[in-house]
Amino acid sequence: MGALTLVPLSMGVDFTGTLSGAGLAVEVTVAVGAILAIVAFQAVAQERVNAARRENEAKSQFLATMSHELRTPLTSIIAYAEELAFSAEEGGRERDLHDANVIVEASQHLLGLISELMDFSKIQEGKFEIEARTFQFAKLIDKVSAVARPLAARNGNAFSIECCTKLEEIDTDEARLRQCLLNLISNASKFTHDGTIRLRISDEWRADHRGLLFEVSDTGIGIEKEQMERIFERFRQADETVTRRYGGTGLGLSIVREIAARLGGDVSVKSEVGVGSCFSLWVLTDLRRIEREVMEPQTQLKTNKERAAA
Amino acid sequence: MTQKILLVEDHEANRAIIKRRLERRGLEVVDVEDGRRAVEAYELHKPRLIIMDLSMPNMGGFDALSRIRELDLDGQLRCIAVTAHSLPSIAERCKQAGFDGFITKPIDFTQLSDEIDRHLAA
Repeated sequence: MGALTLVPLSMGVDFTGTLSGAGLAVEVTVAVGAILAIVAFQAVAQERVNAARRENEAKSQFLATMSHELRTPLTSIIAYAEELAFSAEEGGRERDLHDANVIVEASQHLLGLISELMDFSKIQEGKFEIEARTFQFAKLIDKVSAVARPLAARNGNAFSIECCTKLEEIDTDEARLRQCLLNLISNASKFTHDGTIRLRISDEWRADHRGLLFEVSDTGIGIEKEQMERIFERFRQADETVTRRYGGTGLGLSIVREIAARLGGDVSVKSEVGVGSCFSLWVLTDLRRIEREVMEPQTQLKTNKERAAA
Repeated sequence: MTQKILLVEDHEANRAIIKRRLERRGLEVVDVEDGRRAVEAYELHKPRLIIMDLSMPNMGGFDALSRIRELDLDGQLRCIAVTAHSLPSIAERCKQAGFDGFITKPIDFTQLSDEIDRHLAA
């Protein structure tokens, strides 16, 4: 109510002596109108924010449901195609075995796309979780190698791993790190034919923090200079013809970049058209400890401030 | 000790293929299509291991497990959740609900076999 009296008073100063009773009434009406308009506007704005939040939650629920609904028939497709492959192999029917394996591979591909869409949606909503734990580094490399070899072989590529670290244990999110490496190797395999894909692992310290550098290099088509930064952006591939010729969601590298950042590191690329590309992924080897160290000084600072304020 | 396994899955084609794969490994499989029947089948067959879907009509996997746990007086039962849910929180939820293992769909049968061996050996 204070505002109602303030507005005509200040107006009264501007229009000295000219305020008639009727004029004051008009100005009060205008002022009340303006305030009501502001209040109404705020209510509308708040309602819009609420509606957007509700819509976002509905969208996220929808995506989770869709992912579940898509995976259920995929379970049947993959399991039954594997069954066909199994009996074709038993019966020595080469062509049936080949055909059944095509179904299995295509379904696995589709599953990968669904997972990418889910990851993307989780990143968008800030629900992308990282779960670090300590594990044997060699086991990770074994798992990556087991999947990477057949992946590279599909386009007639040789695959090799050069491990230059003596690190035994690493503390990070194993599944997410593996996902990054397989994504980079899968990309390299996609854009390279009858060439070589290499994974080189070495120790690298950055600003007092121990880390591992994973370099995935290929002898493929390479990337144009102006496309290099863009390929890490969402929905982006080097150009439209890539989507038509090579497929993919265009989300893979943006997900790798997000994961790399969440693992305390980054990803970059060097490339020469017609010669090949090399993607470098660097991550912390002791994620949880470094995170604690980064968090603790801040808490300490805050308590000091609070103490000073008290 | 019997190696009888109770398989609980509402999707008919998926239930049939999981059963076939397990039987090929020489396991005896009793299969039912929802949580309510799972409770009945548990009382009847007293399996050592249950492989159970989470989202099912009539009674879901979480409810079914909590009722079955009440019937498992000697605490010998092991239960593996199988689900097409992909949220990272679902694994944690399963653990808290008392599941001993967790497998996502589409099923990696090597992984499922390893889990089964691990729990039957325990």
